[in-house]
Amino acid sequence: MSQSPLLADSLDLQTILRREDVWRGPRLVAVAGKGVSSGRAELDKKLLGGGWPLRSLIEIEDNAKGFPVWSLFLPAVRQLLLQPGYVFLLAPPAIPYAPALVQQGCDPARLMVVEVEDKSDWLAAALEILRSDCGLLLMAWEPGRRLLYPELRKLQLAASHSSSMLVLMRSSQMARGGSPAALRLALHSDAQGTLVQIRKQRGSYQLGRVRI
Amino acid sequence: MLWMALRFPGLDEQLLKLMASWAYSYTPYIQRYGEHSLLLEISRSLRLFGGMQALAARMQESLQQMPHQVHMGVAHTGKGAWLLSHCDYPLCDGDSFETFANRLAEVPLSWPQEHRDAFDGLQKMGLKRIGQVLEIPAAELGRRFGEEFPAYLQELAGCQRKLAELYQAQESFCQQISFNWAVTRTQLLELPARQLLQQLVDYLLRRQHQCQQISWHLYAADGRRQSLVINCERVYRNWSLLFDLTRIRLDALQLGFEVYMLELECGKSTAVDMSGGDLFGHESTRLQTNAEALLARLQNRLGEHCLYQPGIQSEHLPEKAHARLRPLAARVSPAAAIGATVSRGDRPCWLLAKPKPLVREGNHIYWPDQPRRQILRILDGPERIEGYWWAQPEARDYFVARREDALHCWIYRELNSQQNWYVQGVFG
Repeated sequence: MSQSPLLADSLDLQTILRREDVWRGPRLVAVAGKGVSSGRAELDKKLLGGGWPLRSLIEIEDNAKGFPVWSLFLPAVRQLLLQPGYVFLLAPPAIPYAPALVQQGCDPARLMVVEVEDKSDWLAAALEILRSDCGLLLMAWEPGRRLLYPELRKLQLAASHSSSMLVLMRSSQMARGGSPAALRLALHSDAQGTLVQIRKQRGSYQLGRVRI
Repeated sequence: MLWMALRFPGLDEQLLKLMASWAYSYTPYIQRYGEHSLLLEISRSLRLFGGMQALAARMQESLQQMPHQVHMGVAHTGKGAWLLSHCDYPLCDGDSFETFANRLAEVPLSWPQEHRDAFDGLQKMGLKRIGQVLEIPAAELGRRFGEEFPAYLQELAGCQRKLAELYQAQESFCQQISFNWAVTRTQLLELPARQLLQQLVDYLLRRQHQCQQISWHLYAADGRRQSLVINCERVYRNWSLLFDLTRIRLDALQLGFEVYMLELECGKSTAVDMSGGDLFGHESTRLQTNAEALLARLQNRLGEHCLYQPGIQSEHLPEKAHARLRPLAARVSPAAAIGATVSRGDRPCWLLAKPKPLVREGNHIYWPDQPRRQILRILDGPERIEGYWWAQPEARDYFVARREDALHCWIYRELNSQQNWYVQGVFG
């Protein structure tokens, strides 16, 4: 039976394999888009695409209220701010202090802070930001009530349709169980510094630890 | 002069005003005639719209989307056009004043709505057409039916022109939709809201205006009213944003009564500001538009004060050096305000909303938080920060300290009699 040309075009194997959401096991590294450098060579080596993935949910577990995440992502923020757009902070644990941001080379006028407590408002705001097509990065701190798997899935889907980076900070207690995040990290701080543990990375079985 | 009459049989006052507003996009010379008709002077619009046929076709196309029945007539006088709207002559660019005069002469005497007594009397005398009446000397008609009658005929024939009041475009927008049933769920208000917003955007486009605020009023049968005010950066043609904002607010609204009427009011609109517009649709313009739309959505959902951009004030005390700025508001470069605030020692990227008291026992300072208190080791300092010496003097010694879990904090000791310790910031 001959195949219609339209069907043949739409089912072109190469087109399908070029998609990032087709699971190809460890070979995904070949098709994954280029990431945004984390500013730390050792960490970049362990991340697919050589840096933080765009258009995906990055989940960070941390028990210090997510304070250390800013310095972890600061090099990426600086790099992203070279493009037009805004960095959004959703429900941050404290006030981003503008004099420090200037010292770190970030223009505070490119940062927008959204304060919200209610979980449904939090989720709606996150989805609006991801759909707005004006965000470079959304750093979101989980609201007081734990996000459920379908809600995380919504975030992951919205991120995959946007062009921005999505980073979700959760406490270890909240982050128990499965997550659709493309990248899951856990931060452990001690006297020697911060240990970044890669707990899940889509398209790779390679996990690891990096001290920064 | 070339006039077009639009006759809307049975149209009420409110809808006739709406139609006048609609007709304003074709000509600014609009008169109301009788209870259900509009007279439009179109001679100065012909060039713009490419002739009478093209103009009429465009109007017909727009009118077909409306539920009202309409009859159109064209003549060299307004009242003549109204009479000719009773018979469907095909509109043609080549029609001359003689053509219109000939058509008017054939109009039966039963059609005019003015001077009915005079026309009835003339009909009893055996006259049938307007042309026959126009042949009678004006002085004789004046003696028989009063001076107003020949003046009307002269105006009809185009020999004399009477100044009439022209339609003045509305300075504000206020439209309602009434329901024949009680609306008890806000979702059912979305469709009428969409219709009203379309009317508002048509109004704004016609006037080349933009609006920044609209108000929805929900009315109960007994006159009780519930209002919603919606703010946005600026809306000119994009009604879908206003609709989204309306839906966000309606979702959160608890109806206090059964709604019988929905009203949309836009009290103030200003001339559209195209100065920030970009002729070639550059990336930055698109980004700005998207950011403004996002801002409006978030502010309507979360409230005005839930969004801010961090700013700098030229102050020494850290809590005063930080400012919450209205997002996307034009501002000077932060470099101007930084001054002494930034040039000195390291500053933490997180500032606590309120300094948290620390516990001091002996020579040690502890972070008192649960689940266990942690000792703080001082790494750097002191850096003295003083302010408000002229009012209530504040002097503090700031230190960088490390908590047991390696979190770096910005702590200070008050330089007063109590010498209390506080943590004010956290280094990321």
